Amino acid sequence: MSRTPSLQGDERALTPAVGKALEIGLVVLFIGALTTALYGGAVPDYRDAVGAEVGDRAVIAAAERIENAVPPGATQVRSVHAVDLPRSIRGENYGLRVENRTLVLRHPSPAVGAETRLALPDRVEAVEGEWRSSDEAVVLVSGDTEGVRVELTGRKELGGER
Amino acid sequence: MTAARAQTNLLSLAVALTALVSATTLGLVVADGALAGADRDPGERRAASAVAERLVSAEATTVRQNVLDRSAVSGLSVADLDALAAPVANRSVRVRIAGETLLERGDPTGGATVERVVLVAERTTRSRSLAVGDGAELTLPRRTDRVELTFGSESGVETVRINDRIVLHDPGGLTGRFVVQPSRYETTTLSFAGGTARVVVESTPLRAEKATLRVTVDG
Repeated sequence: MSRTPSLQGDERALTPAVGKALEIGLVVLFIGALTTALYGGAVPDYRDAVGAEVGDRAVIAAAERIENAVPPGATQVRSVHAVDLPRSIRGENYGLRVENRTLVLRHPSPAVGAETRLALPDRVEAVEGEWRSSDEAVVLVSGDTEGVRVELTGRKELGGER
Repeated sequence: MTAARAQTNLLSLAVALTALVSATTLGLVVADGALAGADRDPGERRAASAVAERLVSAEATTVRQNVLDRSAVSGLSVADLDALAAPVANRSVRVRIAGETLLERGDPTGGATVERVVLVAERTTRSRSLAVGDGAELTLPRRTDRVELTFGSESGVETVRINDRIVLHDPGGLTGRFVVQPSRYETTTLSFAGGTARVVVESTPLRAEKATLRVTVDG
């Protein structure tokens, strides 16, 4: 008749337990270090870089859309052109506005920002207005005998006019 | 025995973690490469296309849309170009028409190039003096949108028609200088009626030739 094994007397079961604890600790440490390295350095850097690129392209696409909205050789016009803007850049809303014939992108993140001068004919007497990326952006071109006015506005402000 | 087993476990864990680290690093390297490939300056292309677009549509440089005025274009300076297309300011730029460099700032080596097929027009003046009688006709060999007629003082011509449309009429005889504007879409035939006269016909046809407008913007 064999002796009943006693838990107090046998220390062999501790070895795998300690081994597993070591492994778990190592894995937790590893995941912690990797997460810190990625989200503390690499990922925000990439988001900044990509946001800046998307910002540049968004401003330039919008500027070209504004320039194309101005009809050649006409002043008595009224037209509305829709402009497709990225909904958000770097996960945040942004704004586009015209300051002194320059289209400027305003973004909460300092890494994202772009501006470009607008190339418009002389008969365009004023360019003004502002877009929020959450709006449905449109370019309103209206003219009278004095010249053409270009306005950046939203579809809502126009009341659904096309 | 058990201790050896535990060490084996740790060893395989270390190998697995090392593999994970190298996979992550590889991913970062690939992401870096993709980002570097997407990193370009869209402003160059925009500036080049804006210059080309404004050159062929601005009233200062064209006769009409897509037809460049040779004299206006050859007198163009870099400052005029900046005023015409603001995005090109402070960038190296070269404008070439039919292989000849029209103007240049800096030395754009790479950058973006935009090409457009355009017409380059030159206004020429053709003058001819002739004696006309009743029913005389004159067909101008080149289409034009401006004809200047100067009649001598002893003119008996009462009516001038262009393609059977009356453009000048005076029952007392046309004398002096007149400017008429025929359609540039059809060949102009002048016909005179009413009497004889000495007349100087001066037409200003456009001589247009095809060319490639090439705008390169760098920086």
